Amino acid sequence: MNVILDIFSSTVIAGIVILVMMNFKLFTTDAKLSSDAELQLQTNTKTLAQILDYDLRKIGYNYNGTAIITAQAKRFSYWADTDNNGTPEIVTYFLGDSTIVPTPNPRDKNLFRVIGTDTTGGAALGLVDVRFTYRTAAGVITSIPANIKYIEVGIWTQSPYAVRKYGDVSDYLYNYWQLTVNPRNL
Amino acid sequence: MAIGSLVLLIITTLNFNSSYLYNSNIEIENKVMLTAFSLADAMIEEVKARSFDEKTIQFTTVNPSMLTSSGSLGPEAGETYAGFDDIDDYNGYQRLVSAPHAEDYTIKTVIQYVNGEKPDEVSAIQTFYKRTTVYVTSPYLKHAVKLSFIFTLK
Repeated sequence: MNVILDIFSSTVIAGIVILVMMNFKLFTTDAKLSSDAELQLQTNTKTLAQILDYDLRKIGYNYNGTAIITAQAKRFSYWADTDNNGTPEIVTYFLGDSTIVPTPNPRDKNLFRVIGTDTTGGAALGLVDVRFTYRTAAGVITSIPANIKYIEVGIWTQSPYAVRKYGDVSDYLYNYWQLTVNPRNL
Repeated sequence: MAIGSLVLLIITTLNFNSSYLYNSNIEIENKVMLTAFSLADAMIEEVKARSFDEKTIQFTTVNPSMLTSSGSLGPEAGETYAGFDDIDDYNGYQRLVSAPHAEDYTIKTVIQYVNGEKPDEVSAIQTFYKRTTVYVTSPYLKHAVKLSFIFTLK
C-alpha cells in the first residue's frame, strides 16, 4: 500500500514539476517578446526625440524678428530656414488623431511636422502624447513667443502591440522621454 | 522518493519566482534609466542657456584668473534658482522631479574646472573649461545615471 501511495504521490509531484517547467518556458518566451518590444519602443522614443532635437535647434535660423508663431501645449509653430537656402519657412508640429495610425494600439498618434507648403506628414513611432512647455531665460513657464528662450518637450510612447505580462494580463509597454532644447537663435 | 520530488518542486518553483521577479525588476529599471538619462540631458541643456561665468556675463575675458575661483563655484550670496545666470550657479543644485511613470527622480549637478588638456582631471585653479556633471538617482535605480558636459569660453 505504501509503495502504491509513494508512486502515486511522486507521479503527481512530477506532473506539477513538468507543468512548472512548461510555464517557465512560456514565461521565457513572453519575456523575450517583451524585451524585444521594449527595445523597439526605446529605439522609437529616441528617434522621435532626435527628430525634434534636430528641428527645434534651428528655430529662428535666418529669420529676423520673433521666430515663434504659435506656442501651445500640443501645437508649436515657428520660422526657421530648415533647408539652409536663405529663405525661412514656417515649421508646424501638432499631434494628430489616433484613428489614422494602423496599429492595434488605440492610443498611438502621429506627430505631424509640416514645413512650408509641404503636404502634412509626420512620424507615429508609438507616440501617444506630446507636450510642449516654453520657458524664459530664467526658467519661468511662458506662452508669450517673444519671451521664449528654451523649449521642453515631453514625449509619451507605447508599443504598437500589447505584451502579455503578469500572468494573463496584457498591456502596452510605455516610455517617457523629456527633451529640452535651447535654440541659439532665440 | 516523494520527499525528493517535493524538494525538486520547491527548488524549481523558487527558481522560477526569483527569475520572474528579476526579469520584472530589470524591465522597470531599464525604463526608469531611459527617463533618467533624458532628464540628465535636459538639465545640461538648461545649464547651456546660462553664461560661462558671473564675470563674463557682460564682457568676456582672456585671463582665467578673472573667473570665479574654484572654491566659490555655486550661487552667489542670496541668489536663488530663478536668478541663476551663469553655469557654476548650478554647482550643488538639486531638485526632485516626478516623471509620468515613476516619481522621485533626484537630479543633482556638480560644476568643476577641468584641465583643458586632460578633461578628466579636475583643476583647483580657474581654467576656460567648466565640467557639468549631472547625477540622476531614483528609488528604482541601483546606480545613479551620470552625464557630463564640458563648457568652454574659448
